[in-house]
Amino acid sequence: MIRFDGILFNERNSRLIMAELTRHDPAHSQLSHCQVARRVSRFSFMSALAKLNGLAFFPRVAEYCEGSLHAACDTRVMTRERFVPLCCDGHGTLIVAIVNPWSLQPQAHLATRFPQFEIVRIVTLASEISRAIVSGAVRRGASVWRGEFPS
Amino acid sequence: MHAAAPPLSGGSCAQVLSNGHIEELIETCIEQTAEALVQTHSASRSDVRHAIDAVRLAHAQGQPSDLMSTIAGLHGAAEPDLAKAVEVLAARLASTLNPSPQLIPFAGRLIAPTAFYASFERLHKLARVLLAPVIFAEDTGSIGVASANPIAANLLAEKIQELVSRRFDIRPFLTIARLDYESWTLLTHRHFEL
Repeated sequence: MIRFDGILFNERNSRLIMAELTRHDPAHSQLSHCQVARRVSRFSFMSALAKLNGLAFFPRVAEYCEGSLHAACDTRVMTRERFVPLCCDGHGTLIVAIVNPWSLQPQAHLATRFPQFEIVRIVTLASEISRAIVSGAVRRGASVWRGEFPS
Repeated sequence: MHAAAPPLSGGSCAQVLSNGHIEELIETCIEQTAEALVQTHSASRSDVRHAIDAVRLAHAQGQPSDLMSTIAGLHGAAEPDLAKAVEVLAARLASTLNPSPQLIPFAGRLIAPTAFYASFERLHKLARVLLAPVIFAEDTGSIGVASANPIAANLLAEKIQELVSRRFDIRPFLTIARLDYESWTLLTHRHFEL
């Protein structure tokens, strides 16, 4: 099973990811699951997750996180589940950055806080989620302590 | 990283995306957009015919033009209503694609991938005539394209995939996003000096 950026993907999803990565670059067919984290770029890996789930991938999102949306969410849950609400499109849609498209937790958490919005997920890097959470919290003036925020 | 392979010469690149190919792709974009506009009941065939004439004339004069926004203008929408009319039409056109490109408000704020454009000059020319900027290019393995017209973005994405695959022997991942009218005009000005 593939482990990437601290996320362990199950056997089925690992096979799907390997097939997508091999379509992207035939040389990846030689990789074992445990080699993926070291040999595949984060951009390619996260793009593969996005494609498998019919989602868009964006490599930079942290700068575009609206503080008011961030404030309505539980920082611990966002950190644990690796997601962050980014912005509204003005037509009732909330754009949410996620890392693991197979996790249902972000939608469940956001649906209770933003019932008026249709949630649209986009995939990004785990590091972008961390940056967005920390910068959002700092903008709000929250104290940063290790138990709550990503390192 | 996949950027280590030597670039093709300008001549080789021109072979895969000649001026003739670019003109064909403009026509393909016009035809597919026209079909989608009619299919989604966004415009009558008569309106589409008039708009196509205007778009072809603009292209012939060296001024890139988009059929969807031309239709919005023909329907009498003026600024700032034009922005709303374009977004409504764009959402309808997006519904004809699978997966349907989403409107991403911040896509217009990403930094232009100048190195990618420098490396693929013909793709920059194609992006210019399709009015579909490349919004990011990460080590050529993951590339993002956006436009107000999702069909134009989709066509550019297909061509990028083809040309990058030929040069680097990898099939890049393509993200396609919709831009709001304001971001679209801003990005086309920034990327293509229009």
